[in-house]
Amino acid sequence: MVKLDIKKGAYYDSVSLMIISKDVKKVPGVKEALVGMGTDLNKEISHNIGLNSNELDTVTANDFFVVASVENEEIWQNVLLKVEELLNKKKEATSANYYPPTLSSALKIKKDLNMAIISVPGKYAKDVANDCLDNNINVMLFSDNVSIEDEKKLKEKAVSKGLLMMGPDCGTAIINNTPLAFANVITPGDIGIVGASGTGTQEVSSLIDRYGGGVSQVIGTGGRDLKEEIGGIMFSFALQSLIDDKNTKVILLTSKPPAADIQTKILKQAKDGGKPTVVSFVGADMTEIEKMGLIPSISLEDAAKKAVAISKGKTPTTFDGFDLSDDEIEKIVLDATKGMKNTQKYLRALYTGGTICDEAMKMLIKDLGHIYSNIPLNKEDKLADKNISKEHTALDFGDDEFTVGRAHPMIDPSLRAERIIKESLDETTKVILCDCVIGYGSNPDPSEDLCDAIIKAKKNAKDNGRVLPIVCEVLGTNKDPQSFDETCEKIKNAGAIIMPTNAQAVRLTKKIINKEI
Amino acid sequence: MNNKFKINDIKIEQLSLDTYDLIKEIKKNKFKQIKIHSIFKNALNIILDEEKNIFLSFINSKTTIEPRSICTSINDFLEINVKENDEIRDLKLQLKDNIKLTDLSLTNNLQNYFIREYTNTKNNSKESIYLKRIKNNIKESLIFIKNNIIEIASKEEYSDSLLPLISSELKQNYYTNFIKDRIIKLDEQTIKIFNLLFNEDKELSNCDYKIFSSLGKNIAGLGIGLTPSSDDFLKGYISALYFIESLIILGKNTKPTTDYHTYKISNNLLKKINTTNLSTSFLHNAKLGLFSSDIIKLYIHICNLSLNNIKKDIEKISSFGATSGIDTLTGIYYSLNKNFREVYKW
Repeated sequence: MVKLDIKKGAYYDSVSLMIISKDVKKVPGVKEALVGMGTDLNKEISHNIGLNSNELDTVTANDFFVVASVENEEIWQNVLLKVEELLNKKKEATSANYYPPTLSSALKIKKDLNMAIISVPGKYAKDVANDCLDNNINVMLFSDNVSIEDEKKLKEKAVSKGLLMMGPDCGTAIINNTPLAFANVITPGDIGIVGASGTGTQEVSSLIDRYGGGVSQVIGTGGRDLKEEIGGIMFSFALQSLIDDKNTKVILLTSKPPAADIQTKILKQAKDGGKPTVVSFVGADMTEIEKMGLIPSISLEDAAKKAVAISKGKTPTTFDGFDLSDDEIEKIVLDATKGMKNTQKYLRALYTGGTICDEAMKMLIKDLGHIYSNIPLNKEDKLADKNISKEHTALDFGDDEFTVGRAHPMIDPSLRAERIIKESLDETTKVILCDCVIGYGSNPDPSEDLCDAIIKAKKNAKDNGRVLPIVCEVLGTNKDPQSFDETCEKIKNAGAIIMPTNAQAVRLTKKIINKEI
Repeated sequence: MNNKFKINDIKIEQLSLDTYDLIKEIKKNKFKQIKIHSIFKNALNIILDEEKNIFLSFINSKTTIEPRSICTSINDFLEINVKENDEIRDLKLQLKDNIKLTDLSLTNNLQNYFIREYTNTKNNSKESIYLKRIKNNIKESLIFIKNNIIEIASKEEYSDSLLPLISSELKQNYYTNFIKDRIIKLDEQTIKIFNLLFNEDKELSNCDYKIFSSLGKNIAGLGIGLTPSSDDFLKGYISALYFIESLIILGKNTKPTTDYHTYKISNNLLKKINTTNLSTSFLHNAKLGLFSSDIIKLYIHICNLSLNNIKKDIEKISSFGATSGIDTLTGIYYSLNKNFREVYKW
């Protein structure tokens, strides 16, 4: 049945009309609906889509109407109730169904906005970030391709106003227990993290949760903050915030090694802050950290363990082993290498997370000598063609080279999955090392593509008379939208060796590479 | 008669130039029955003459300065204790700090603005280098404008807007399916007139503009909104016609006259339309070549290829209403892209 409601001479703001139009169609039992002013064309279109009512002809351009095709009278009454409910709301849009397209329209709706996540093409990002800061809104800038000069200006402005300016190229933060962008659901606690690296921050925070600890705040700064040109502006600001935060008892700092002067400045600030601070500048010289009375770590896993130990009032000890016993590890290595051909020599590390790829390379470089990469540790090890591996190769699929015109591999893991299959056809591949990152921002099921790839890769090798071990870490927690345990189970069932942390996955991989065939 | 609110309390901070004459008439008590028409957070519309459909809008700094609008310092008009249809007696408008009316005015007349601004930069050649640069800038900015509009508006919330008219990647809706052929017919007629104008063809004087009446009747009044989507689209469409005509006039070293062809087109286009009073008033302004300050700025920034500013203008315009701004921008891009290309054979 077609029913009509007319409000003569009624004026409603356009936002309300739009919301009504959307919401009326969602009322259960409504087959079709149209709302609008009674202009000739609106009436004509109403007839065209089968919403014919003689009374509609009496409606004038300055009358508001709602017409709907409904199953019965009761549904129609529900429609009328919905319309009244929406019209009686304050004459401004609320956030439920209306997504304001611009900052100014967002502020019209909610004046006290205090955090913005910005992900626009780089050349516009600076202006958007500036607008937010001008409106006293903290910023998380996911965009990259912002010049280093602009980054510095933005951060200086933010600090002068007491605001966060996380980024550019900042992918991870947890502010007041709210995961932002790519982040995991972590138990609230008393460990505060400042991270200049995305997956590094995700790895430590996830492990803190797994080891029984919790986080107060996780503040990202973007990857360039600790370079000379920026001077650690935001890192320092975030660190001070944690020093001053009564809910933070332990501080964890994670980054690639900063520029020397910046490192000294940050470490001194942490020392003067008086709170126990674990420092994870992977690959950095530990001496300075120890001299400052801070706690160095040899890996992200080690940093997380130490932070949790301190949080629980225990003495932190360095961990560089395995959760499994030595015998169990030996068995895994034996099983993984049994039946290998002697052509198989090389590592192919294929990561979606850049920092953990970097950690893997740092842990393996002494043993392997050269690791060719799109993010090499040494310039001479830069891969000539990112699509063709050379000897030991480690790839960060989240790097710009791979993400031009594509979503990040944590969102769309298909490119990395294809590469796993490709490497399995190479007779020289001895072991594949990879990650699977879950949490907010990641693909709803990142294991799907990965499992298909693992199955195909292992079959390719088998068909060629080879055995190909694939070692994988799942990064995340059981509170993440994707189930951590289920993800691990699926990948394990596909044939991969699941290790509990990136560091342990790398150590196992080292053993496999070093195992003589 | 209900006169709770004393509009005498409103101080004028800024106003559009076209409102200047209207205010003089208000001061002379020319309008006998002034009523509140509609109230929104950032705007209050009064109707000065219901028969002649003369509106006046009070706005604040959060809203663009439309034709026939007065910018005030009132933050939230919803907090004023009035309602629709309240009558207003003795409308007196104060100027902020005794500034004279002429000091406050902004032009909303798009064509006058361009002709005045760019005539000064012309030399004796038929097409100045400035004009060539402007045309190049328009070409270069078109893709940028389209991408920015789509970027802002490609959300489910805008699925009922007319945006799919400018992007085949977006899903068409009832309104775009209904109207696209009618707009194509409008294009055919406007392009015909503009080509004759551009070529200084004698046939221009024989053109029959009455055909636009039936075209307008078949386009205006369609869609959701107090200003229906197609009306906002037409407003944008007409603004681009005024802009293109300005370029043609500048290129031909012709003195501007009152014989504007866009005026003739739009006057006929809007003669027989059936839409809301408020929308009719806005379209009346568009017919006269009067547009909001943000729309005028957009065209200025297009001429200068100032991409950052174009982006800001698009954001500002798009934030107006629910889909009004997006539909206006759709009309601007559609008309500029179609008509500019046809006339300049690009």
